[in-house]
Amino acid sequence: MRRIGTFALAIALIAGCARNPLFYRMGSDYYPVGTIGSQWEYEMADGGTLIVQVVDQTEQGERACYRVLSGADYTYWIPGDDALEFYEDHRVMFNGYEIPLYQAWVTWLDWPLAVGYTRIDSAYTYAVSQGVTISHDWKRTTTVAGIETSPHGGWEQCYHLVQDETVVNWIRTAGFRPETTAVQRNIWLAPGVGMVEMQAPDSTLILMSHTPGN
Amino acid sequence: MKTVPVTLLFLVMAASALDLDISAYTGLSYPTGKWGEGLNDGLDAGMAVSWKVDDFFRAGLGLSAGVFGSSDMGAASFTTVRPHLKVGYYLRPWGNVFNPGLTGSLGICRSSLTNGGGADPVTWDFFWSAGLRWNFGLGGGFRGEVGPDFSSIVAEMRNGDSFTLLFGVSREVAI
Repeated sequence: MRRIGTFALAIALIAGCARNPLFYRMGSDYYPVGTIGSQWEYEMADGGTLIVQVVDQTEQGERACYRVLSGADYTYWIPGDDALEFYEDHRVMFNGYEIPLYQAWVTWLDWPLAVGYTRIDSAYTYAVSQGVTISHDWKRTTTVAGIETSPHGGWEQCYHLVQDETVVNWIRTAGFRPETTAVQRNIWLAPGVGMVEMQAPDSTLILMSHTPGN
Repeated sequence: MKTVPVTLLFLVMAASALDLDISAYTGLSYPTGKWGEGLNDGLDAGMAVSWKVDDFFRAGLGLSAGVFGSSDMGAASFTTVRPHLKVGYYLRPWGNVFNPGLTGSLGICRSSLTNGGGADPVTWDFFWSAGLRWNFGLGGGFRGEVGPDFSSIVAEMRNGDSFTLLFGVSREVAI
């Protein structure tokens, strides 16, 4: 009887450990932007809603990608088995003109995610407009802080990302100083759903509804 | 206290009647299902010590391990370590060229995922495998074995299934 009890205890210990569905996480799409028609409706902290929708497939930066309408802006994504790529399109306004500074496909996340995963992307570029040089220094660090339930909405098995992004734009002529923008975002990605919450200094988004595409 | 040496003597006598089959094997693993979509094909290796119950049937203990990399040859790595019970049934144990067999394993699996300097919490789950074998003589007392295995890690919410093509070498030892 003692042996049976020990065996039962061992089984209970294995089965009773904190939930850790590793294979479920590995097999889940944490940013499903590869299905046309998928739609996410977010509640914004300052009121109103933001609707994000995968519109179609197109070509951007000489690569086939999915075009996503986020509010009034388009973003471009390439979902893959091993990574998710995002088209970085950095611009600055100068004397009434929009000056393109940096356009490139950059890996946004590498799959599968793991707690403590860190990715650093950066670029230093410059453009000359109207005889003036404008420099652009960009750095983004993405870290997986943990596996959590989202603070609002109760989505389970979310990867909590902390994203620190710093941009220094400098119009190199008299009267201008380097303009630095530093933002930290907290993002929760839920399996099969994608971004369910984002907290940033200037905005907070909470997912209200998600409609998978066909 | 007298019972201790008597027991030891009994064990030695019992062991002298044992025919053991010591095997080592390696192979290529192919994850099946969504869990492995971000992973490349993997490598598997292990060893086992089995008792030849009779000419046909073997039962023993084994320890195997597997490793998978990410499909972009990137930084992700998924590893498993699997202590297990193993059984095998061979249809033509006298066959030097063709001795088909069936094998099965049951045990627990430690799974671990790392990527980009991070690591997900390790998980322990039950696992089983079943396979077909073509066993053949290699000379010098060694036997070779090839065949496929299907294994499943019975994990929470989603299983981790994979196919493995194995090649093994074994030698019978009488003690």
